[in-house]
Amino acid sequence: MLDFKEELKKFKKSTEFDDIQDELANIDITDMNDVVFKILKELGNK
Amino acid sequence: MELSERKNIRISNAFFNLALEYAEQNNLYYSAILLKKSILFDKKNIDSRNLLGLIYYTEGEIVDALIQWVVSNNIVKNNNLATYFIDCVQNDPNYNQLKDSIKYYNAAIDDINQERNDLAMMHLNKAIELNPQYVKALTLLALLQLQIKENIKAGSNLYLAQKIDNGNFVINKLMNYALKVTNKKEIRDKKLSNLYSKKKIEEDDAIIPNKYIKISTSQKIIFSLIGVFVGFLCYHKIVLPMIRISYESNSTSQIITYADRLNDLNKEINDLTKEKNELQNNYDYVNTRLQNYEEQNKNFTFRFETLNSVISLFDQGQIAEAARLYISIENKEQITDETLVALLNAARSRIEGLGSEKLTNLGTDSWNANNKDQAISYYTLSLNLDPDNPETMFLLARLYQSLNRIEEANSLFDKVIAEHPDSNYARRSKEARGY
Repeated sequence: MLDFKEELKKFKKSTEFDDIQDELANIDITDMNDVVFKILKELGNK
Repeated sequence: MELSERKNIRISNAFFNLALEYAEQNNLYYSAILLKKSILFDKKNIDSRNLLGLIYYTEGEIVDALIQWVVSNNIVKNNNLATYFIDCVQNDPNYNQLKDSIKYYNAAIDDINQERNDLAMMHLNKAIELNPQYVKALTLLALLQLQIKENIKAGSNLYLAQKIDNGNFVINKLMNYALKVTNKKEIRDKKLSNLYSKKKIEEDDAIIPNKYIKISTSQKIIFSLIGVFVGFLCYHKIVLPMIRISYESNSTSQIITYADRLNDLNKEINDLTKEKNELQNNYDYVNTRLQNYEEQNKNFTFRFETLNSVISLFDQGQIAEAARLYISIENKEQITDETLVALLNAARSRIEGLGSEKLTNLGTDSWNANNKDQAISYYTLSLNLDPDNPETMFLLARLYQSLNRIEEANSLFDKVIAEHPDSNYARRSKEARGY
């Protein structure tokens, strides 16, 4: 049996055109290189 | 370039290659997951971003696609496919429709949160109409349709969604459910596509139109008139007789019903009249009996009281009054009541026995007192009681003679002579008469 209410909850809104500027401003483009770089920097500081 | 950085690039590329394979197999869901991982290891992997954008665009998520391409463009401005993709989207004649489809989809999400599923389905239908490749809208609509048991429609939408992205586990899960509830689990692959796909006209298909016959206006009028005439004929010959027969049969059966009813009512009236007459007769009989009884009762009472009065008056010495009262009793011989008979006998013995003698004596006393009218009254009363008394007849005759009422006197004298010829009073009557 399908739990329709649970399945419906999984669907979220799509990004609209009006929000594109906000999305671009808040987008997180951190990748593993940045993480490693950050760790190395912290280790370097120590 | 550091070792870690090179390693991350290699990992990112590996993810990209895998994602590309999945994308070529139309498994956009897993392809997107892998591309995100690829970008995670190397944000500058513009191929991954561009492909991810392309996947988003294919699935109808236009804004997400543009974001990826814009970021890609910002990372590498020259010789970047992202620029081309952005131009394509912005120059797409359906650009506004694609934008609106997202709005309708989001409106449907709001409707679902407010439990207005019917409205949500309308918005989703609109979103799909504007963007037939909007996978999330197709999937959500299918889910709502499965909820209200429109399984075939849900299956159709899921099939369309699967054609775009066959790796989406949500779509696959819903499709399996739809197949299960429509009891067509055994249908797979080609049969499944036959079940849910709509027939498309290919280029080689030749469409042969039906033969078209052109009719002129005059022909149309003639055909119309013929149709009206035929209809009128059918009505007159078939329908009307049937109606008439039905009406007549109804009328006849109604008449029979009414006649029967009338007959029953008449019979009832006769019975009631007979009963009424019987009751009337009974009433009359009883009434007559009652009247008779009352009459008898009245007579009885009168006679009872009268006889009692006679006896009482006689015993008190009022002989004349008793005698008059006794005489007033009519039809003495018809008295049969025992009580009344006893009283009558008592009264009779007094009045008829001694009464007339006493009255005669009273008459004589009145004559001696020169009260001749009174005497006549007493003598007459006495004769009423005892009409055959010669003495009383003689004395009354003599009284009449003294009053010069000769005819009355002579009548009485003659009666004494005729009825009592051997009596002394007969001789005396002859002498008084002048024989």
